[in-house]
Amino acid sequence: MKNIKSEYTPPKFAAWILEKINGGARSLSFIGDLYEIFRETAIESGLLKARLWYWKQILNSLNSLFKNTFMGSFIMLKNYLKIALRNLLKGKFYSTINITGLSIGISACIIAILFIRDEFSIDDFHVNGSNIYRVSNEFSGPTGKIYRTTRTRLNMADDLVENYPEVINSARVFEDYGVLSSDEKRFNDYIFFVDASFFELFTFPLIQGDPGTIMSEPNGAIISESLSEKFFGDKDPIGKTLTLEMKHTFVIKGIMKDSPPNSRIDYNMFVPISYLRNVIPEERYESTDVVTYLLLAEFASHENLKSTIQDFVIRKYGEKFARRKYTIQNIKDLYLNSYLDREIGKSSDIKYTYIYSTLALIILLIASINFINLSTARGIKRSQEIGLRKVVGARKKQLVWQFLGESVLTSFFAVFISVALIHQFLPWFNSYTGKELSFRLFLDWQITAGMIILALISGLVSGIYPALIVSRYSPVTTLKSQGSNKNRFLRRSLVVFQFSVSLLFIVCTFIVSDQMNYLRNKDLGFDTDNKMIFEVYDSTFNEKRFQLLKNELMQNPDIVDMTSGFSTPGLYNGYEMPFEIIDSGNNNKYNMSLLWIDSEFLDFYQVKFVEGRNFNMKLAVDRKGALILNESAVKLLGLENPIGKRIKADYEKVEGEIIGVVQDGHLGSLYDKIKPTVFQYSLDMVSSLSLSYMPGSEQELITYMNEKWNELYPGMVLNHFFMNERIERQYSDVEKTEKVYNFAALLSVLIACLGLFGLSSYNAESKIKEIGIRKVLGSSVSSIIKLMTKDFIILVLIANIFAYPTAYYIMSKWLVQFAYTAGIKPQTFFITSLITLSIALLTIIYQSFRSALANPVDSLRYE
Amino acid sequence: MNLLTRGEEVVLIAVWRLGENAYGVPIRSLLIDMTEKDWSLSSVYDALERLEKKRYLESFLSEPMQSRGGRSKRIYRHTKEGLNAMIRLKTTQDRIWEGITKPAIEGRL
Repeated sequence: MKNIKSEYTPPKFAAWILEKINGGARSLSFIGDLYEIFRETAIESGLLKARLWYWKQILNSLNSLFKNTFMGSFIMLKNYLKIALRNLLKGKFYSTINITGLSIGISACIIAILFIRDEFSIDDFHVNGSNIYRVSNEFSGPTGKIYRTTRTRLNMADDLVENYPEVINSARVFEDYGVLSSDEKRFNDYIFFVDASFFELFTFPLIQGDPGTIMSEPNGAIISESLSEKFFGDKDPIGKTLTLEMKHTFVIKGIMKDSPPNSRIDYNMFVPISYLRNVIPEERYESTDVVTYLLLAEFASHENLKSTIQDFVIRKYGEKFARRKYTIQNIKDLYLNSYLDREIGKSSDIKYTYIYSTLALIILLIASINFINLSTARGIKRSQEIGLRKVVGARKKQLVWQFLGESVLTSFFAVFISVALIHQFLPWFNSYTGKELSFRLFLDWQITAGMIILALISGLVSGIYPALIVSRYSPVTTLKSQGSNKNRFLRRSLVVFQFSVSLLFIVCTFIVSDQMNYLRNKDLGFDTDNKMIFEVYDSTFNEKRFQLLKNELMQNPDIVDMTSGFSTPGLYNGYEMPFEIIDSGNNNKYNMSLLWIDSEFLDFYQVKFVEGRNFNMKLAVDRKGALILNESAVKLLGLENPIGKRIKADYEKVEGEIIGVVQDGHLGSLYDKIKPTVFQYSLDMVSSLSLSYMPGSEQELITYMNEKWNELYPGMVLNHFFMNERIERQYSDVEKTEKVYNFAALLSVLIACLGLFGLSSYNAESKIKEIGIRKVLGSSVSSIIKLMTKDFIILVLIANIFAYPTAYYIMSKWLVQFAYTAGIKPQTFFITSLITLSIALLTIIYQSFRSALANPVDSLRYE
Repeated sequence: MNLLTRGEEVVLIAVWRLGENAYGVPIRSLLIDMTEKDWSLSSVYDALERLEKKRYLESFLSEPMQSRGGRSKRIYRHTKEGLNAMIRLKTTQDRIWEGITKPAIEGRL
């Protein structure tokens, strides 16, 4: 006998499948027989042939399995399918309600799945992803406020690689935003300073050039295809140059594909991090803060690094780092679970995935309830069929399967329709979430599988209860009664649930949009109309420059006034630091925000003075030693006569006399309480110019400003925004929430009303004779309408009881994030009730009228 | 008497011919040799299991064997009813074919 090689064993996976198919007694010897034949074939005709033969056995086994087990039930299956289709067609009206509702629910779920999958796919294409960590840290500011940041020292990456054997590589990133220019064109863009190893850690698709060598050169650059297209059109960009801020010239040596849509970093240009030496002044170079990524060895645990990095930093860089707390985060957590300042790349919040999936499931549940209610209500009608099946010998189990099959069939129809719905709604959803989700049925096996699973789940969820109930009917009792009270109670509870959820969503929509209106229209304590803000990126900007610019700009008649400051009101509270009152006899510290402004800043924004005066530039002392406080600050300091008192803050070497007090205004967003604020005159740290203009001159003004700007700063691009818009943009999250609730409310009301319509139609149908008799006996139309609508209206009213406390609870939690809220108004609940009641009434009134107006002769003809 | 399909009939005979060695693999190869058609192991088992259900065959498991990936053989043999069935089959067959010879058929070609 030939020596049989040990690898001559059948494919494991195929063996496993075969074992599963050939269950029971057969498996004991069958697999063994196959094994034997496999070896023979392998020896005689080669391993490949044997393997092919072995795989083929799966088909043979399936065939045999089908013949042995299914053949008998196949005929019944055909019958079930036929009956199911007949029933769907017979109750076209109810089937339409069911399928419409379910398809809306399923579409919502699929879109939620697309969204969630996309959220979780961010940055998942990096081959080393699970081993790349980012160093982050948190520290407390001068007043104890915690700042969390992604930035570390420049040399930290190398030190960590040196001291931790498990850290095998590192990459640093520094980002800058500025003007890029070629010979002919200029664009603003982000530019990333990176180590050569950046491209070893991360998997970004390169087209041309070797990043290792390019990033080791002093001024090489790699740009994206679309940036190349923007600057050079079809021409080959290699060897051409791009200049940053008119100062720093880089030679393009490599091209890479545009950043994939699921990349956190949206890059267009990479240059070597070593170049930073030329950008950042020598004295600040050592303290440059970069983002540090670490590559850990495969299979190495990150726990050791995570737990010892803090000690390492203190040991290495000294005790002053003790107030910073260092840690590491895996890059896969950065997009959804990291909420730090100065992130590089986009961030989202895991809460959206929770919110969307919950809402989608609730909508599907409401649709399933329609199915449950209509099937149990109409189950009576099928008692004859059920009775006959039972008499012929159907077991309860078989009937349950039959009815489940019908509900699954219904939800499969719904899936077909939802395909169309998703195609319709996905673009809308994309524009609202800013995503680029695409729906490619069949090409995308996960989605296809998801749809099938959803169809099965929604079919089973909506079908299981009706199936159990209906299959329990005994033919004798169904002939006698009109459904048990227990069923009617369940149906009513479910209707109450549907309307509670709908009411909840409506109330939430109202409260959120109330809050949004409040945020939009709240008087902030300063004037925001007809104001435009221009961002200034110039570290050399000072008073002299500002005066020159102002003299020039004020000659334009469209410009009413202009001012400048460290920030723009409504967007930034100022930097918090501890102040103390000089000569107060104690050294109590008071946390107040400091804001540097131009002398006319307060007048420009029409901030009202409570007492004292504004800065006067003619007085030399006002340039440095004069401070203006807001009312909150005065209150905090507890000063009765603040004017003339002196305060100081050692932290920024601020010291001066209080010369004026202004009314409180919302310098930050309405998320924050008004802060005690100190205004000081300074134009050394200007970040924006504020202009007020004649209404209607906006477009000319923007063009004019850009021209002027180019004279002053050749090559710099001026960013502008309208003040009202910019302030409102802070509340985009609220707007999003408003839209989500709005949409959820719309869908849930729609589906719930569909169900109500179905139930009321059924109700009218089954009471047709009762009404006929009532009319014959002299009942009026109005009393019949009352009879028909009363029950449902009571249900909707009961739903209020459940919806309002829940809504109140959810919304008061939501409103906590704002320091200033519109509150929850009682009339919101009243209006919601009114709206829902009217919608519900409208839904059922049609059927009620029809039955009330019907001629009793028609309904009683056959009695 | 339970009716047998042609396939079951052949399998019943194959088991007879193999005697002590009547389990899946040799049964299948014998069937292939006898009928000159490809039999899948599944179809062999289908037939065997039906015959067992009709109580013409009985089976027992051998010890697990290394050469079979640690699996047992299921060895089949005839029951008394099975033997009776074979007798009836043989009788019927002989009766049907009585007096017909191959040369006679070929002579008509």
